[in-house]
Amino acid sequence: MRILIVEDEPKTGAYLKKGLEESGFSVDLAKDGGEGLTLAQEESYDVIVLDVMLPVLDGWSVLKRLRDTHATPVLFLTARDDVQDRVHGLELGADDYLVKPFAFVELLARIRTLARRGPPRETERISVGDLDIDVVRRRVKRGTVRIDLTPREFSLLQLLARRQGEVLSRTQIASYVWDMNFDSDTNVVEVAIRRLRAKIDDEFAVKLIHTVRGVGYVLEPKEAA
Amino acid sequence: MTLGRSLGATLALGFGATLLAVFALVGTYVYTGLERQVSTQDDFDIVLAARHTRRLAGELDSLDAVRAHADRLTSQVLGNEALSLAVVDGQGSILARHNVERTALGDLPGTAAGASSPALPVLPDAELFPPHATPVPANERITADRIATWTADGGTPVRGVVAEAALRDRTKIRIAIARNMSDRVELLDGYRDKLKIAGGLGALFAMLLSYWLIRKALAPLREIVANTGRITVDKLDTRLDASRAPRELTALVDAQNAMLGRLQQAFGHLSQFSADLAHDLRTPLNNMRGATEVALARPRSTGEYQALLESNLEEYDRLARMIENVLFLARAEHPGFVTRQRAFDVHDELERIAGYFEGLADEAGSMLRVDGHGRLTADLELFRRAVSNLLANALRYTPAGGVIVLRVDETADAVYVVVSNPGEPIDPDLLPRIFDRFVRGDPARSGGVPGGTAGLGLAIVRSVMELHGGTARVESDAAGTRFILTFIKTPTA
Repeated sequence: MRILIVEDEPKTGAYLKKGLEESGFSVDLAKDGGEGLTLAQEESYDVIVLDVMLPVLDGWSVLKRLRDTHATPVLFLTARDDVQDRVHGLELGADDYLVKPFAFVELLARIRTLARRGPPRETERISVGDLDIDVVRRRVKRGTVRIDLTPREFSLLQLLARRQGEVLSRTQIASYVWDMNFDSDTNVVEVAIRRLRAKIDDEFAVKLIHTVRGVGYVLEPKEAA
Repeated sequence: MTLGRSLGATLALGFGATLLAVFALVGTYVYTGLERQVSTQDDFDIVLAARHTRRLAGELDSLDAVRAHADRLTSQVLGNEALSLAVVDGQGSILARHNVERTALGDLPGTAAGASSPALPVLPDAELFPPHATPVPANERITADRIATWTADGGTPVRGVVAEAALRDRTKIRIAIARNMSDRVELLDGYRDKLKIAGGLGALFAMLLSYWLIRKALAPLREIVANTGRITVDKLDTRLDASRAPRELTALVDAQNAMLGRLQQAFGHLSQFSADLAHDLRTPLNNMRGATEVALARPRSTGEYQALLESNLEEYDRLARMIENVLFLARAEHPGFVTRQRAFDVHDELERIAGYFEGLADEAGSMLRVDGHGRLTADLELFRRAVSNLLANALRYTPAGGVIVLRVDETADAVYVVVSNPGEPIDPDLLPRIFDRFVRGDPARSGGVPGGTAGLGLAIVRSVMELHGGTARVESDAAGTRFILTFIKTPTA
């Protein structure tokens, strides 16, 4: 998948390029609005990550001109999270936005969603390694052992399992599982993960839930290090 | 752009115009009065002279006697240079005359000014007097209303009367008395000019005087302006002196002083806030800087580098959260802040929030209980944020085994949400400031909590309540601490 980053701040551009490349994307980096618009019009990208404050041509102008000819999904980055600013971007045809500072995993998740175009398919059964989740009957098994979960624990596990292999930030988890859409000042998510782990992983040799230090959590079958 | 007119100039001009109008009215009145008085006097002189002359003529026997005693007749107008007299017989021959060159009477053919002609000419009536000056018959009393006005050659105004008189031999003669009015016109014109000049100068003087008085009266205002102009942010404690301002301006001065007081307080809060914020930003920055410097001082294992980065990431999160909270507070104070209000069941919402914190409470050995019922119309996101902040706060201070209660009560006009927890009472000195920014119950402790709100949690609660037109207050005693949110119900039309 090809991604275009239009970002004038060298450090931001560099880490975004590096991070996205390491996540398996092919990334082009444009240093100003003019170059970005040219690349966006001439090349074919799956997602464009667009900074708003840009030299030569600002992000809004790039977006406006791009939308005359292209429908490429655009995610814009802004340091100002005024409601008006966001509304303006979305009205101009942006598909999503992130306010700086943002968690990189959050950006990754948004880009994947945009590239996928459409919600992930809701399956009735999810399997990860020997973990088996029956979404309809809300039953969880590891191998042959049945595991009892509270409704919240089940929601958390289901979220991690649907996004298996993908790192989820604490903010994302709080938002999906509890509908808490603000940065919590507590370690609620850590506690919830710890409790889920106690039921899912503690008794088993193969651990499924892994902490990506400082970033978030990922569910994948991996031998404990 | 329009410039405001000067108050002083406007008032002075107004006074001047008013005075000018008053002077004009008074002047006209005085002038008219004088004019009337003078003309009455003159008419009286004319009538009197005519009457005397007629009476004298009546004592004379014949035209010859008239000629002989002409000086007796003319003596009637002696002593008044403006008066002139002519006496003619029935054929128009002049029998006596005096001073006629000063009036129309002097313009008779052959009687040019200065010429003395013994042979007096005969004249038709029409040439002696203007046509409208019909003679007063001999048997009729001479009155002022018979006086006629005409203009002599050269434009000299003249007033006069013509009367018939009967001599003893019943011969009719005519007597004409006229007065040259030019001295009167001169007098009245001069008087009028003096009135105009005096009035104009008076008005001008009044204008200047009032301008000066107004400027003097407005001096305290200029002083207020000057003093206000000297107030800068570092001199917000300046107050204007109300005692030196006139009564009309004390209200203004008081209002300005009150405004200054509010500004000073708000500014003080703001600078305190900035200082606190900068201070709070230093701690995480210092942690990162120190840890990074130490780490780079010599080669480390990968594990150590990872630990450093992870620790830094925690600090970044803390900084980001702090900025987010500060921005939230700043935006909430902005009048344009939009809340998306909708009705919801408070009990269900409290259950949800309690569910979110359940694990945390469990680990801390406390219990969460939700009580009561009520429905509320509010911004759900902000409501969750406020209650979550209160609950997080309660969890921090509840001893193990304590029960934290989330309670909702609905009355006819308000919905109360109470978060109560057992624990040590809050320091009474702290209570009034507890909703202020960067105020912490225990600075040493909560400052170090990773992901703590850095003393902004309760400030956000208050902001949220203000956005809903409600209040947040706290009670703390031996029984525990209760945070009470009051949402006032707005009557639904």
